[in-house]
Amino acid sequence: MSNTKANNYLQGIADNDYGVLQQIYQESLPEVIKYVQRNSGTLDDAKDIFQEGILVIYKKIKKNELVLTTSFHVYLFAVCKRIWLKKIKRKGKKEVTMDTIEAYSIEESFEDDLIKSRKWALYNRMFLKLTEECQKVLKMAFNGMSGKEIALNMGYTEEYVKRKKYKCRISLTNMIKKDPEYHHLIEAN
Amino acid sequence: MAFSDDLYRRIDEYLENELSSDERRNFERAMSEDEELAKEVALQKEIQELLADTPENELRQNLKRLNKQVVETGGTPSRPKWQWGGLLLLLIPIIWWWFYKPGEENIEPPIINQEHQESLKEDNSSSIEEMPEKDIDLPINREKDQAPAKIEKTKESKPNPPTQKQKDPGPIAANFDLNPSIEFLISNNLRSDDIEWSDIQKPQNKLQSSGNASIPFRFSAKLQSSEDLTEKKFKLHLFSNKEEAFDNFEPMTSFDLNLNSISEGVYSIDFQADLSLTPGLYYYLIEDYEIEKIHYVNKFELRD
Repeated sequence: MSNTKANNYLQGIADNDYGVLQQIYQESLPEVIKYVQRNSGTLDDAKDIFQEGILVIYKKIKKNELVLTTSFHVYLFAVCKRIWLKKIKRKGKKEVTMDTIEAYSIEESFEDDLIKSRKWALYNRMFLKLTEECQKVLKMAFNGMSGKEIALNMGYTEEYVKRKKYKCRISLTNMIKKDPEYHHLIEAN
Repeated sequence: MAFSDDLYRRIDEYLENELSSDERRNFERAMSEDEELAKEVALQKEIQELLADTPENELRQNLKRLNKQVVETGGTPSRPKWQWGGLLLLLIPIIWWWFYKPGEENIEPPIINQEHQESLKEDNSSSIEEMPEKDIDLPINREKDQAPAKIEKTKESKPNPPTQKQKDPGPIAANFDLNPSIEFLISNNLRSDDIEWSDIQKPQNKLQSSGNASIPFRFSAKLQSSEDLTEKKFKLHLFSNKEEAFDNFEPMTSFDLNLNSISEGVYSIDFQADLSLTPGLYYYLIEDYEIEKIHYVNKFELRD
């Protein structure tokens, strides 16, 4: 693979370019699926791992820590493989083939990242169940807008926004805590 | 532990930097003395971080979209699901070749099917024996040396290769030709991997037409999923065997399905309808309508 092509992939990940991500999925995911399925995993596991692999690369790019010494796809595959091995090693599954992938220096916080991604998916799913008004108020607050700005934007009083904000927070938190997935994630943490 | 509304208001003010320095100090002292409160604040902070529109979360959003497009075959996410039709049409000659190979007595399933079944065998959570499609007499899943009566019959009644489109027989199917695209879905067990189906009561594979009277159609099943399905919108789509109907995703009719929650993570479907159909081959698909994900595919024949 040419450097230009590898740089194009890295830039695409850094820029969250959907077209480039799509191309990466097409070219690299099948191998990861095959690998994970051969090593006691499911298609969903493979998709999770692949997503996490791209996020690992994204973080490394952002920290200026990524130096490719091999092709992009080989690197991504190695990252995914490593994440999967760590995951199943923790689960205590013995049947996996532990082969040599130590040549790639990748940070160790995969489990935490994986759990974070699952929490992200769960929180988003629950967030979408809130009323439209709650979603708007919380989104603005989470994106750093002050109560005054939200009040101006929505045409409410500041006090109303304050009340609305914590009430919506409570609804969201209750839904999250009621979901069985949340308890699995807390236990896994 | 449940916290009062006031405390949530306090947490909110703390996270939004709306407390005075004294209030902030007091709140932090309270957190250091109360582990549950500290955990709650950490959770609220995490929710806030993960729901903010940061570049990392936006990347997650795109990756989630791409993940959703990946199906059991590991197919490319570039195509919306119903554009598979075009791709599948390209596979028709290959499938046809497997079915109708001249002079070939032994019919083996295509490699893609073997690989898929092997991978399913490795996955303890989804045994092939549990597949709802298993009980359908599908040529693609036949044992090597069995003479597939259905195949021979189809061969006789089908002088043209299936790559040539059938003349549209009208709004309702009136022949029994297999729809290769849907057969492909059935034979490759393309189904949801996050829902476990059991106790399936479905129409018999062969139904007898009773003249002009409508046919009672019933489909019931138990669904188990770690995902909360209460808000899901499932539809049952009925298709004739016409290739273009499925390729363009134009079902003859669609019904909303009610999912009843039986216990935590367990749901039931019990759908009944009277259908006015002429003899022919019909397929029914159960789809999560919002995300366009097919969870179940099956078929039945209606004979005179």
